[in-house]
Amino acid sequence: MFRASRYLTGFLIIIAGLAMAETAAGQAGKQTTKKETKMDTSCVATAKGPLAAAPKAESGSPATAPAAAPPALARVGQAAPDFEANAFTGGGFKNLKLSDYKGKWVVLCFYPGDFTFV
Amino acid sequence: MTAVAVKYPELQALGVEVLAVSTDSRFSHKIWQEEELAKMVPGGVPFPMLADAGGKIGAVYGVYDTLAGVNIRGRFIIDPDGVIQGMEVLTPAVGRNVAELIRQVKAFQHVRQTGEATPSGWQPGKPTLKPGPQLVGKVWEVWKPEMAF
Repeated sequence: MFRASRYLTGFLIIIAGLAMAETAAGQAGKQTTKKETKMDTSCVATAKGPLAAAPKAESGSPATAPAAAPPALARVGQAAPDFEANAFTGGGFKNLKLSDYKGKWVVLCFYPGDFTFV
Repeated sequence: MTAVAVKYPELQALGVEVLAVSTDSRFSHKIWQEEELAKMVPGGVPFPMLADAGGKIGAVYGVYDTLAGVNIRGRFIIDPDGVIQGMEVLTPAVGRNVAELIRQVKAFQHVRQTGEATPSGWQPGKPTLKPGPQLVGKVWEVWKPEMAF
């Protein structure tokens, strides 16, 4: 019992040390976090889904994202709600955003599911 | 999907990008493409297939069916400014008409370029309307309902 708790404490210290090293590395090399252009073939890939409307001042403003504001619902004559999704494209996988297509006409087609009949 | 794929060159000629979205994973999209779609259209569908996990994107676009857990058929035309110009939403058993999609894209592009308005059933080459005070009450002089067909 006594021995087990000693092991546990040692284990926790190692974990804490690793976590601190990781945050330090993250802060040192911010660029390394932007490696999403690489094809992601892991089992789970995150995508942000609907994105909140960008705040008016895009440049220079601190990253205090108003994450609480839900994206507006789609309506004709209004800006199309932006989103990010995993995509199968050109034989590979990558994340796409609707806003990647700004300046182009886009037809966005929702359908019930792969292998459906219509 | 495959109907849009067949008409994809025409859409590309109009400068249109297509994005298909369902709640399936990207892995499912890949296998559907390889196992079925590629047998209906040579090379499969030529546009990206997006995975809308949990229907969160569909919910924002008003097409997510919470009971079925899938997105129903919704089609949105978005202009180069990112503004939604047209939407069409159908229940699952009825497919969409790609020819009508293309007609609407041409009409929206014409309106964007000229500031004119396209009356019912307009096709390229058919007369358009020039909105303004002088047209009020005079549409009957320049446009007849038969011209819609």
